[in-house]
Amino acid sequence: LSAAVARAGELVVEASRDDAFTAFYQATARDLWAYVAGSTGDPAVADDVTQEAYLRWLGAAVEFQSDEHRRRYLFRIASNLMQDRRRVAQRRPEAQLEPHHEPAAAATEGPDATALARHDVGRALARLKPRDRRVLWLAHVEEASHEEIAAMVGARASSVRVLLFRARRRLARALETER
Amino acid sequence: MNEMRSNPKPDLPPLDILLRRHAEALRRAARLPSPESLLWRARLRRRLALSERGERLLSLYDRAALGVGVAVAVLAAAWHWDEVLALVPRFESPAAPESGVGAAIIAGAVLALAGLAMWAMTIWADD
Repeated sequence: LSAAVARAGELVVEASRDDAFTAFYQATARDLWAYVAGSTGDPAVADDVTQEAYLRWLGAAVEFQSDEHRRRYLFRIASNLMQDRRRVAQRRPEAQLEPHHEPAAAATEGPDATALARHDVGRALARLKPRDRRVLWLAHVEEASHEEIAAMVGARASSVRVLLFRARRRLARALETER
Repeated sequence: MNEMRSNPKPDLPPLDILLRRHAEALRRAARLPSPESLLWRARLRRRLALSERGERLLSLYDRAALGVGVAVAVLAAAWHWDEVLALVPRFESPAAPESGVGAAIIAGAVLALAGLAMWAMTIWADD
């Protein structure tokens, strides 16, 4: 009987953990997918990395101090996965991942369509270095601090300001030539 | 954050606004698996990791059997060298153990050989 009670207790804990994960997933999944798609320019990579990031997040034995910590940890996993993929692609030139920027099609609906059509941010981002794309995204979309960006892109916190400045300048130039 | 909001080209909307609009378009286009399928895969992965750990532990037992077998054989042989020689047909035929020590030597040697074989098979399987 005690074994059955213990098993029932485990099931309750598991169910509440599943509910917590589902809530976390619903709050973060679209943002994470957009981050990876925006950084790599490839929806297929975004599919893979998003899924793998959640699986690793679920397998991680980390005590999270807050929801924000939980979210940042997930984005950090995704950043590392993107870097790993890039390293593998660099070692195997035939498997080089070239961004192809399909997601712009999604912007052809809604009130922002005109602005996005005029300034194709996706195409402009594709012309930047991967690190520039990630830095810009984390700073402007995710509103991460310089320390958090540094941890996610593998740079020193003191150099993030410069990295951001240069990335912004490159994006502005790319947008100008896109128009 | 002010320097992030400014734009070197005054006729363009600020970069952070452009980026956020782009992010919103991507969010809408996101293709996501269900959380249930992710949870299921995570459990499957955990189970696989556990079984891999079990296999590694098994090969640890193989090595332990090998070590114990070798130790038994070496110790018994060192203490009763005469009886070991008596087991070799060239010195005395037929090679039958006369005491429990002889049996221990043979058991140790068999255990060591079994452990060695299992270990070799594990290494071969890993390759």
